[in-house]
Amino acid sequence: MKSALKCLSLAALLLLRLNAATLHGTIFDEETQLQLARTRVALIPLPGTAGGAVSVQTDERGAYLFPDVPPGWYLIRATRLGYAAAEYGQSRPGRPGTPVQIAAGVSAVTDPADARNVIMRHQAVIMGSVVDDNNIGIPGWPVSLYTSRPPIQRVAEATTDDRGSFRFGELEPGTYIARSGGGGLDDTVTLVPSYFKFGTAVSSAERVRVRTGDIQTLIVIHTVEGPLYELGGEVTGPVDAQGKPRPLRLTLITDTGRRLVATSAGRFSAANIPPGNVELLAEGFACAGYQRVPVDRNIYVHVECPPLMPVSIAGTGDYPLIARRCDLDGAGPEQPLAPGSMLPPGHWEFTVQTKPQNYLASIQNQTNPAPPQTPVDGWFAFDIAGAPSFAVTLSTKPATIAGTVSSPAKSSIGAPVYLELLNPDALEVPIRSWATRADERGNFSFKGLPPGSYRLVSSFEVDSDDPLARDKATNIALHEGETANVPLAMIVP
Amino acid sequence: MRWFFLRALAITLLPLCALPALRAAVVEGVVLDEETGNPLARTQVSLVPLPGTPASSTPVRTGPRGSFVILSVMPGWYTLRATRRGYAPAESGQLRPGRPGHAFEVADDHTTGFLEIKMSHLPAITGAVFDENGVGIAKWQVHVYSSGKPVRHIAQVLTDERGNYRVGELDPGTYLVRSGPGQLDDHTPVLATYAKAAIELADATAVSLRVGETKPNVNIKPVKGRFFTLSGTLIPIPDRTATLTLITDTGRKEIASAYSKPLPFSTAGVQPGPVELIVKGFDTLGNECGSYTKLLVDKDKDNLKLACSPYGPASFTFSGATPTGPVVIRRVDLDGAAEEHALKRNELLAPGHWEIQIPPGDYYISSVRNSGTLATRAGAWWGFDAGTYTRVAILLSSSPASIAGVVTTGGNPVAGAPIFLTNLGTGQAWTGRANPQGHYSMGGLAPGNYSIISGFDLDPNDLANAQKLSTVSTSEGNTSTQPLELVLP
Repeated sequence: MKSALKCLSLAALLLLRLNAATLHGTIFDEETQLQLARTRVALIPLPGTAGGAVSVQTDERGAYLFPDVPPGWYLIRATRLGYAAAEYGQSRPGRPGTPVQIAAGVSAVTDPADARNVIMRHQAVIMGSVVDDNNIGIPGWPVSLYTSRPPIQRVAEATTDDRGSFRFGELEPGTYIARSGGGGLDDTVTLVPSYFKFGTAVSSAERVRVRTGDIQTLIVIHTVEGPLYELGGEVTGPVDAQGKPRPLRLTLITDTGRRLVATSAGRFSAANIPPGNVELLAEGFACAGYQRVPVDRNIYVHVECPPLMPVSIAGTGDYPLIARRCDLDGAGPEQPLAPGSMLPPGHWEFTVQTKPQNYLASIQNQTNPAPPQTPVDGWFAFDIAGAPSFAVTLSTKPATIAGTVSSPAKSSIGAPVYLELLNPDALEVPIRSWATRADERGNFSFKGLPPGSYRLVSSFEVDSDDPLARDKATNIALHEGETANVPLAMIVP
Repeated sequence: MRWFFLRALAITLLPLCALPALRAAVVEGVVLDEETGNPLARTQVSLVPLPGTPASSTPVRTGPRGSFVILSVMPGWYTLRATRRGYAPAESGQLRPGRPGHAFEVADDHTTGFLEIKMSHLPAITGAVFDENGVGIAKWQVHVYSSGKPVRHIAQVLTDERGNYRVGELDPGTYLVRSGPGQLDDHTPVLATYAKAAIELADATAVSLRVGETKPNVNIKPVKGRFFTLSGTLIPIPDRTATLTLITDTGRKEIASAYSKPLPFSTAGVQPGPVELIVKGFDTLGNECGSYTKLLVDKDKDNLKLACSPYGPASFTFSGATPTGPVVIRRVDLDGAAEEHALKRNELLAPGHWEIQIPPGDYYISSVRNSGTLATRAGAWWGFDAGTYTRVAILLSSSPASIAGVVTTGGNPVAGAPIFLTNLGTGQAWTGRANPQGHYSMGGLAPGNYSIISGFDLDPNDLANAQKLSTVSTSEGNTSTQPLELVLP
């Protein structure tokens, strides 16, 4: 029996290999037309084509080759440090590519005519300078870059060079806000954090939009003089058996960065703090303390480092609860959270990544009940203190959107389909987004959806950072457990 | 407009401010950026008296519009100097950026004319590190070395995501630029490579920089090659920990840490060339121990035995004369020089290469020997290898030579003329100024041959090619007279 099975699988493998084809091409830099060596190229089957994604690296001449590709429809995607991910057949860098069909038995090994070349474009760059009153660049000055969508999040930091110039590379397409940090100049003058072009309020900040490959220059931040404050105080923590304080660290966090202000229990002092909120995070031997303090003058605070408390979690089923710390200077890494694990106090966000048979309905912290909130991109935010107790509600009645993409002008095979869950209070800022590809018959589906109002669009001509073409999008209202079948006309410019 | 107002205000108030010092005068002016003409706020400005002017003044900072006023200046001759981060030091009346300025006289109870200092940025080098196809290599190390011997590592940066780099705040001079060693994404080993594509120092293309210059397109195409492996045993003192650090001219990394017992170590990916192996740790009494090994790696090296040996305080003995001030010392590894500091009595010098600098005085340094071995010399620094026992003997001669004379132009003496003096044997260079009568005197010199020249438009980094360079021989205890004709632009 065993040998018969083995024989059968060998025969199947042989048949597959006989039917398999070779796919090859070269990856080029769009600007210079030079070949891109050592670039990762992935072959991604469309829904309906068997098998998983595979990837290879280009050789010294930028060439790649996938041997033995089973028949079906595939996307060819190239990724490389400093470049935007690119797909074969995209109408423009940054846009979705078109799938390629591998027919059974085609074995043109490296015929140049069959080459599936991919053109890559650099990621966006924002460059500029931080200048003083006389338009002289300030060297060695901190600069931060934030997303412009509220609440703004710090995504990158840099330091100006000897001429006061800064550069942020490897940026995703989108809209950003640039801001200089605070600090003291060579004399007694102090500068407060200042937004591009001028001003200290986020409302006065001028947004900078970049698309794939853009280099935005001349982002000149005119610094603003203003008072900086001193934050002093005392930090206390646990002691050892001899009554000696155990080691601890106190970190001061603002929305322009963080610094270590104490490495042991006792008094501490930090100068040059710009007005606004600061966070103080004490971390020590099995202890952690957190305070958020508004600074509008010199202030004195007492920070304690109480013992860490275990987390209790209920309702997640087989899924882990995913947590990420969100301090004023940005979000930390995502980490799965098991019941009983320790969670330092501070501002945290949580989510559960469900399979299609469920959706995440809500997360409540029962030790600190708060009114129901609207999650952003599926994340629920809490200020954590003490021993949090999370009650997670997963619904077993998710909604589904399925349909077929059609277009009289263009093949709908592998058509990109975008879905947004709308926020009734702010339609322009979706709560969450999804994307998929239609299969070789133009069919698509999104499963595991929460109830709500959705916007759906299909197009090869939408930039990944563009708000969906709202005028032409299809709007759908879904109830719990509902399946909506939506015929979707592809947008073709 | 605003600084004109400030100037007027300052002039109005100055007589009141100057009242307590009746003979004192006022020096005022503005500091500007040479390139844009914009005022440079918060720039430090100081008066430097010429030889013969027995005065000193406290530096001041320019105001928000770049203007400054120095009150209570004693009469005499001065140069005016400005310093600011990112800019080359500049002097009033200099003909070009990087050149010495002109001296001026401050008279009794008088305000000088409104002085202007234009500052230029320190030079920078920019370029890219390219792969075999001419595509920039992202996040790759780039190192900058001074090109004069000994070649010294002075800066390190990473290329950006497009393979470009920039190294700023460099002093004018000549440099070598080199990409670091490493592995490409497909694990191809790439050797440290000098611009444009040289493995050997002799084939490197040097980059010459002047004040205010940004040298573009200093591109490097790294060469593929083979790395080597170093292996052996790290031997700590029983019950104590020792660490082993590998230092190359492109960086350093800790490669082993052993507690109590000998520990085999092996480190791969070592670039061909010189390496230093530093052992650091403590003995059973808590005293420092260590060792220093310098190797030339041209193949895999095995069976290295590196122990943590106790060492005692270094002794420095001076004979012939007493130094006029503290001796300065710094550690110099292959990856660069550490911060210098004043040598402390009975200082523990960890095994390795060190350099000392003896302050100038009415003596010259006849010799520096470590346990009988002559120290190497790099400009004003004397280098030696510290080991288990470090005994440095410095012989100073109290009969130094000197060179003196008058700088003239058209038969007239030149007040404050800049003097450039170079020892032709050691390459050590000095600068000075003539006094208001054009007299100069450069003392504390060792016997030998010197080149000397005076001019306001001389490039201190390119004196060897200057016209009218005079050569002077000096002998112990004697003053050589050398009249100088000012080199005109």
